[in-house]
Amino acid sequence: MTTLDSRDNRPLWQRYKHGHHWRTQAEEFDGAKLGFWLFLTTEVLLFGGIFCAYAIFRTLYPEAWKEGSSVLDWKVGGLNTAVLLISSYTMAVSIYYIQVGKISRARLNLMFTFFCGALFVTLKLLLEYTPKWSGWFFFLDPALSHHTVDASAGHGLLGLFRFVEGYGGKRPGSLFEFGFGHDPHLPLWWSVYYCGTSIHALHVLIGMALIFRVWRGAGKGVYGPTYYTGVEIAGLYWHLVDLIWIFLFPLLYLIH
Amino acid sequence: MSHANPAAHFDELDPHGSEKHAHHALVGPFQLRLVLVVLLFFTAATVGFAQLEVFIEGIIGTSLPWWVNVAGAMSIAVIKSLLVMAIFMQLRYDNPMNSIIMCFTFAALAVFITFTGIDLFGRSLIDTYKGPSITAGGTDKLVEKGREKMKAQLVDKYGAEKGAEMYAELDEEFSHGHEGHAKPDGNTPSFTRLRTGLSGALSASAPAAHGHGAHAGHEGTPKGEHETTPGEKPADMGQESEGP
Repeated sequence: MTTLDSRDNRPLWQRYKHGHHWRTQAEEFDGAKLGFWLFLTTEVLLFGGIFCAYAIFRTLYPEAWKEGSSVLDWKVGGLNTAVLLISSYTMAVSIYYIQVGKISRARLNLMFTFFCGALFVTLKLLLEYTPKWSGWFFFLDPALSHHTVDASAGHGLLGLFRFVEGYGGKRPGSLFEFGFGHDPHLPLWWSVYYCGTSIHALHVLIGMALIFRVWRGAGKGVYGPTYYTGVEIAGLYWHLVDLIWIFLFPLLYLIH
Repeated sequence: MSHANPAAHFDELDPHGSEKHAHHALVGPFQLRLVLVVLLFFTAATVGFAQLEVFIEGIIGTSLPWWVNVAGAMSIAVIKSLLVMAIFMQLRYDNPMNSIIMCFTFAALAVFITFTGIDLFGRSLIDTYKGPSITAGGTDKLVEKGREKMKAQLVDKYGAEKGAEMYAELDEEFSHGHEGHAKPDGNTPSFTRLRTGLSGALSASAPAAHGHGAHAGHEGTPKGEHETTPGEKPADMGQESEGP
C-alpha cells in the first residue's frame, strides 16, 4: 500500500505502508516469505512426482535409460548448469545491493539474471529440443561430432544449421515413433525427459517474468533498503528453479 | 529475528510500527561469490565423477554397481542444493519455520521414493505366492527370481517329479497364458494394455509386432494367426493373467 500523497517527494519504497493487519513491516515481510515458502513446497512436490517416475522407470527399464541418456550431451547440460548457477548468484547479489541502497547496481544484476534465464532457454531450444524434434543441428552443437551430416539436405538458415538423418523424430509425439530406438521402453525415458525439462523451462520463463517485473519496479523506486519483498520473493523462485536443475542435470545427463 | 518479541518494542504513538524497518541479514557479495565458486566446482566434480567412472570401467573391464553412479551424483547434488538453500535462499539466517517446512517437504518426498523402492525391490518376495497373478514387467529379472524360488518350494513340498510338473503347469499359465483373448480390450481396473500401434515402429521386436496390441479387440482372431513364436518373451506390458 503506497500512499499517493503528491506532497511527499520521498521514493516509493520509503513511503510504503504495510498492510493494516500486520503489526510491523517486518512481520509482513516474514509473512509473505512464509507464504512463498509454502508455495515452494508444492513446487518441490510437483517435481518430486517426476523424480519418482524417473526412479520407477529407471529401476524397471535400466537399458532404456542407458540408451536414452547416451543421446544427451553432458556438455550442453553442464553449460546450462553453469548459466543457472551464475544467474542465481547475480540474483542473490542484487538483493544485497537493494538492501544497501545501491539500486542501479541491483538493477544491473537483475537484468543480467534475466539474460541468463533467456540464455538458458535459448540453449535448451537450440541445442536440445530443435535437433531432437527436427534433426536440424546448430553448427556449433557439440553433439554434431557424433553424427554424419546429411550433405544433400543442404544447410538451413544461412548455413547455421546442419541436417542429420536419423536423428529426427526423436520426440514422444507422432505415436511414439522411434524407428531407430533399440529399447521398446525408450518412449518412457523421453516422456520423463521432456516432462522434467519442459516444466523446468516453463519455470525459467515464469522466473524471468518475475525478475523483469521487479527490475522495472526497482527503476520506479518501488524497492529500497526498507522494502524489497517483491525482489526477495522473485529471488526465492529463481533459486528454486536453480535447485531443481541441480537435480535434473545429473539424473538426466550424467547417470547412465 | 526481526520480530522476536514485538510486545517488548510496542510504541503507543506508532502502534503499527510503520516507522520500524525490517532488520534482515545481509549476505554480502564476497560470501555469495564464494558459494558460486563452490557450486561451480561441485558441478565440475559431478561431471568428472561420471567420466572417471567410465574410465575406471574401461580399466577393470567390468561395470561398477549401479548405485555407485547414483550415489556419487546424488550426494553432490544434495550438497549443492543445501548450499543454495542455506546461503542464496538465506534459510540459514531466516525464520527457522521456513527451514522446518522445507524439511517436512523433503521428508514427504523421501516417503514417496522409499515406498516406491519397497514396491519395486520387494516384488520378488511376494512373487512366490502371487506369481501366477503378477504381470511380467521390467527386465523380468525380479519375476524370474521369484519363479525359481517357487519352483524350489514346490519341489520341496511335493517331491522332485510332482513339484516340477506342478511348476511347469503354473509356468505355462503365466508365461503365455491367456493373452487377453478372453476379454476384447484386455483392460482391467489395475492394468491397461498397450493400444494398437502405440509403439509399433519402435523396433522389430516391439510389443505391437508381437501381436498383443494388434489382437486386442479381435476376439475372433484364429489361433493360427497369432504371431507369437514359442521362444519369444511375452511383451512386458502386453501380458496378463486372469488373476486369482
